Amino acid sequence: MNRAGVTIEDLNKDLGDFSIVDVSLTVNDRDYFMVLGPTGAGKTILLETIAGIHSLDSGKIYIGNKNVENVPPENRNIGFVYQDYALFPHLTVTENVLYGLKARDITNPKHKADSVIDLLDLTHLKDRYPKTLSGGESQKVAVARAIAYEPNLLLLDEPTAALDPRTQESVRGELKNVHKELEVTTMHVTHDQAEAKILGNRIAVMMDGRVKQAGTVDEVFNRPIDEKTASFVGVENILAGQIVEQKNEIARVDVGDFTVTAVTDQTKGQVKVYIRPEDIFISEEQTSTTARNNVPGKVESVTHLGQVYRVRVDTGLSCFVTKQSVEEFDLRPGKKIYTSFKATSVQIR
Amino acid sequence: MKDRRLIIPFAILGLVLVLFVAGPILNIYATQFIKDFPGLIKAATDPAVYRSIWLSVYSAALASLAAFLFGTPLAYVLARKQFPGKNVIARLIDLPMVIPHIAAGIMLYGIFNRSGLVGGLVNDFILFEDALPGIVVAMLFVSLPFYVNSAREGFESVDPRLEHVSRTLGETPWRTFFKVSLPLASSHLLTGAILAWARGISEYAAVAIIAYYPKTAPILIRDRFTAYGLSSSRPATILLVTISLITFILLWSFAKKQ
Repeated sequence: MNRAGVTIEDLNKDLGDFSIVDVSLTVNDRDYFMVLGPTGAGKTILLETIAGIHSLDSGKIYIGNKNVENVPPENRNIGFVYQDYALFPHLTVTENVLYGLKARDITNPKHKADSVIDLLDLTHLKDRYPKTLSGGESQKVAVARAIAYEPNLLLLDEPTAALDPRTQESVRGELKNVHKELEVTTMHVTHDQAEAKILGNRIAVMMDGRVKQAGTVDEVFNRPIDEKTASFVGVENILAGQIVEQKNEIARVDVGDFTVTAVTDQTKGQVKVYIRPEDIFISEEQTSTTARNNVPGKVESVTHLGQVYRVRVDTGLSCFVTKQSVEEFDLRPGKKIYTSFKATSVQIR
Repeated sequence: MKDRRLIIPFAILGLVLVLFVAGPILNIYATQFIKDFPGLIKAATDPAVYRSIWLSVYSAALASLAAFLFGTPLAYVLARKQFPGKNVIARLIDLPMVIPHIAAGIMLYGIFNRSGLVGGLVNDFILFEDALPGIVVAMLFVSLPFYVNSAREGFESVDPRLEHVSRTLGETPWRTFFKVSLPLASSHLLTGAILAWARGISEYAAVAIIAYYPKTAPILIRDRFTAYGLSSSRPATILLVTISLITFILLWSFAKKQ
């Protein structure tokens, strides 16, 4: 398959209600690239602009090495999947999948369509019309239609957002599988940080039309560039502090109620301390572990979040624990506990 | 128990209008069938009557076709694009609904008579005055808002993202229009065309000014009413109303199918 990365340089597009501002991004060949951002961040316009549906106000887009400014969507060789599927309601599943194959005059389109329908496990739905399909089935058909003609680039606009959690999981699995099988460069837009983490090998965080940060999953999730990004990627503990001591790249930061030990080369000044809630663990007594931070406190609240519970402590820290831990440690408001986290789990900015 | 204090008076008031519409229709059929059934048979076999009805049906179909050809692109542009003056154009298209049709006839005659702006220009090829083309332009004028508005609504009901997807799947704008937009809006286009057709058939005033001859059904009916009175004009009226009712039932069944 002919593959291609995407390079975007200083892209600007104003559509009135939504806009993208000075966006530059590099998506490597075969990347599964996640664009993560809240609703209204301009993620959909970004994808539609790459697809050629909107013209550019300024900037450049390269697919492969080709500047696609004057290339209409039908010649960009991309696959596009929308959040609400956008299946052709007057065509059956097979006819939907055949659409792009026929448009491109690909030889033996039936055979190609059948194989991709099979890849996505849709054979039993072949002759059905879209309105008779469930959300998950519809989305798989939309994916099948977008990959049938082996595009250079697959653009996914919130493909799981309209699905229930269990179906989301299954569609994510299919997307991962498709990417593995076809090795097609993929750009996937989402507002769901868990999805970004599960699927992406690289991530860009977009807010208010701008790319705030781009990098590997580890970089973006563990070293967010600023407070807004940190909060969006799930760093729930953001504390303002002052470095009071620095020795061998280990700093002690006074955050008011307690001090935090962190690995950083910063030596002084006002800083922000970021700690992910899943990196903090709870004990009943001050135990001796390799965690350099042990902060006593009282449980303020315990909230059920689905698979985990969020425990807020009166020190201002939040952490995630399992149901089992909630029961075993009898976690409830007023309970005295210790929160512990490693110096390497603390990010200083 | 449900509180019916509001609904009962409203239903009674509403019933007045319902009877106001249904009454004359039922009455004309009843009167004809009871008082003068042979008259209806005679009218139905009168060449002048069925020629005029056929002319109405046929001309209105041509007017509908013209509305389809020119109105479909216009409706699509109005549904999809934002541009300065869009609202002015949309209101302009509605104007034939509010302009008195006698005035519409006079205005059209001004343009399409033998020495008019258009009529004079194409005088050697097409004659509008007292001829089929004249009937068609008059019918088109009064019926086009029905077609354009219905078609516009149809295109607005097609998710633009379906067109975007079609483009990314490799189709040109033209082929996308014919493979996605047009089929998905087709029921609206059909409804609009039938509405426009029915409106065309019923037009009297505008047609009478530009083309009194050959006589369309409404003109024939009016002629007979003026010359011989109610009982003479009634049989042809019944035939015309029957055609309109059949059209309307067709339209209704299409609307229900959607």
